[in-house]
Amino acid sequence: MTNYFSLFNIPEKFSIDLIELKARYQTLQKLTHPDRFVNASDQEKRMYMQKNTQINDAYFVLSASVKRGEHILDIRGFKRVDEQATHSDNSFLMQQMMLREQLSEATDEVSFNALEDEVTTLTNDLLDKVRNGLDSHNEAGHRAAADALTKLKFLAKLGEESLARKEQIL
Amino acid sequence: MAYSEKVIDHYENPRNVGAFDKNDPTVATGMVGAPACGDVMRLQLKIGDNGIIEDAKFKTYGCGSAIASSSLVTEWVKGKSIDEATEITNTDIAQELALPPVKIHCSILAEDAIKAAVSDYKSKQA
Repeated sequence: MTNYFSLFNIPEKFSIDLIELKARYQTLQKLTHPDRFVNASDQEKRMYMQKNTQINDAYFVLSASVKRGEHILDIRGFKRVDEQATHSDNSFLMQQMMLREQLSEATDEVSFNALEDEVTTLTNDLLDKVRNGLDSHNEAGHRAAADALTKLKFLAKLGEESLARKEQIL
Repeated sequence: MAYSEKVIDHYENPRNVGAFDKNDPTVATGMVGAPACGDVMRLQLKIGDNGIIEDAKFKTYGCGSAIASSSLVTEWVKGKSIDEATEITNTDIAQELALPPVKIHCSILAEDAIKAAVSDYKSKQA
């Protein structure tokens, strides 16, 4: 599989400089843009078109923390569990349930803010776990990172729902 | 996406929504979640001395299919033994609700919730 970090020539780390990433993306995007190759042969056009698509895919993955973390696990050959597999960490799920209940009862700015603060704290804590796990470069660390990445998906969903409900109510 | 009439019925009139005390030794609690869509499901079974499921309650935060799958399961498990309950498969649920392929994972979640509840009960009894 293509290593998107190599493609952008940046270190393979979970913590990345998003501003630098964007700058590199824009440069590579321009270099491979189809408009530059109107006079090239069909074969070359196809090649640059593929490169251009790959750069877009890479940017999409590297700029989103969960996708970036999963990509690092993938390029290191760590076998992640299927996204469709049921998650069963009891205490985590109970906490999620509680937060959803809290959201369904939120009616004013104060309660939404309290919930958002909690989601932010939990998210940052999980992002730390991903970073530490990936930086460790060992199996146990990779497993911890994979688990935290799965949990981040529940929090992302909660964040989306909170935003939607807030717009509806406030 | 079009939901089947049965899904809509369970979604609009969910059966047995609520909770039992999870610390009650006769209560089995199954907590499961689907990372792909962020759905969270809690299924609780109240089990009699004879090992028969006397009552069931659920709470699901998720899409219509996930709510319908868990609501249907609470109806199906009542009167069954815990072993019979674990024989309910996601295929049974998906067929009954006419779930489209993209919503099959909701029925898998409900099946896994039964299994998680039963294993919670067994660990409580042990």
